[in-house]
Amino acid sequence: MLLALDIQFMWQVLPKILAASWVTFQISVLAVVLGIILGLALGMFRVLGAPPIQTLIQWFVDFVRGVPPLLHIAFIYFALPSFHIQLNEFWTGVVALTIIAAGYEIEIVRSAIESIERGQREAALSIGMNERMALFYILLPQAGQRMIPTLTNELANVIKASSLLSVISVNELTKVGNALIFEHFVFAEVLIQVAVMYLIIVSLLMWLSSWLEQHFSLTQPLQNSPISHFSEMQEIR
Amino acid sequence: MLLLSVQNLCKYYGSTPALVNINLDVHMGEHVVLIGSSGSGKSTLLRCINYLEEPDDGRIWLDGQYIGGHIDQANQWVKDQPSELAHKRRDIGMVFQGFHLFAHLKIIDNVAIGPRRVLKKSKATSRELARYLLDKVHLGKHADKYPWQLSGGEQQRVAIARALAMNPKLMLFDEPTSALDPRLTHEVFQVVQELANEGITMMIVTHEIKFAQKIADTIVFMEKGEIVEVETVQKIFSDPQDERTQKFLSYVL
Repeated sequence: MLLALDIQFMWQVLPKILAASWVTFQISVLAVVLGIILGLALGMFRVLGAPPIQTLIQWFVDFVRGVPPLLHIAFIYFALPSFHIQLNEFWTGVVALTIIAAGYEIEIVRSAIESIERGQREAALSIGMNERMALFYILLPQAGQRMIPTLTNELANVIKASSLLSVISVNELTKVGNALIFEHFVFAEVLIQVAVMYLIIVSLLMWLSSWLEQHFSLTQPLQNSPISHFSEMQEIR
Repeated sequence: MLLLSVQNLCKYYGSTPALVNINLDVHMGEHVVLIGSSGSGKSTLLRCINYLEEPDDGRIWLDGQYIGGHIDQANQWVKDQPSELAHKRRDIGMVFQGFHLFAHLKIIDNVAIGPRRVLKKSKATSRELARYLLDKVHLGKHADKYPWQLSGGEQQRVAIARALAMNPKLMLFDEPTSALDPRLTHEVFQVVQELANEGITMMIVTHEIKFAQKIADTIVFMEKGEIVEVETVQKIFSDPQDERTQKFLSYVL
């Protein structure tokens, strides 16, 4: 056999890998869900809020994007206790990844809303809607579908960033995988199992995402619609 | 009876004047058509009337109140809060060159969403009204389709129904047929004509002179952000006063 894997060993450590996967899964799901909620809320304030609030949110976005994820985790775990905020390893992971997810989500929400043709907002205002109504009833429903693919990408990155939690000894996949390697000096078997587990978790997200995309595909033929065709014409003229 | 009064309206884009000291009165039931070459400020004027563009100077008065602000007891101009402005915009329906139907909503909901969300009527009442208006623009059978399934002319008629659903005092048409071929143009104009026959007050920006002749009571000719001539439809086509009007009409007639 070209590739001789120790199947028996793999079977033997599978319970540990599965337990670690469950931790990674829990942290990922919590961070993705909380990140979307926080990101959507802040994203709307980023678009609609008073100028100082918009600036504040933009600083938050710049901070999240400009600082490596590892530093976020270290800051929450090691620095926050000096401000009398102490989180255990698990919740440190959830909070750090939520903040990272939200930071990216805000920008995705903003750019998706701004990508909606200007006429949609004007038409909404012209029938007496205020900006908030125009956002909720007209812009967001259309932006929502456009942001799903980009969002999925970012969230996949967030899930993979959970591997950084190994540095604060969260018993997630990467940490457990590392421990197994150094305990048994078996590389390929462990790495393959860990990779497959990440693939499964990220695939769940991808699957959910494509389901959502199809489910909200009412405006999918937009590319071929006379409206978008027309707006292209308008830009050329 | 006076419905709309545009007073000393000015609008600049940077230092380029788009509208220069515009004064115009529109009476109830009057059909005003604005003509002039592209870039003469016709569309900007319509967009300033419902404050989609904020004028730099001057006032818009509509049926007893100013749009975009009010004059307080100390005789000072106070700008409208966004919610007040939104409330006043209900009285002004607008039809755009690019239709701008809400792409995620069915035709019936495109029309019903105004009454439903802005006027807070029940879903059933809003939809009933929408159905009535869709029948009026001859699109009743398309109620459950989406905008992209309709032709341009049909979309524009839906846009007209959407504006009518707010029961506006004034309808603004901003080049409603510029994106349409002649047959679809005819379709849309037929509907506009029917509304005109009902006595709805309207201002129309168009390059279709034949249609203008047919529907207008009053023609406004604009050039370089100024109103050059305001005249009854009979007078302006038979005997234009201003040299610039004569020249423009010689191109299009």
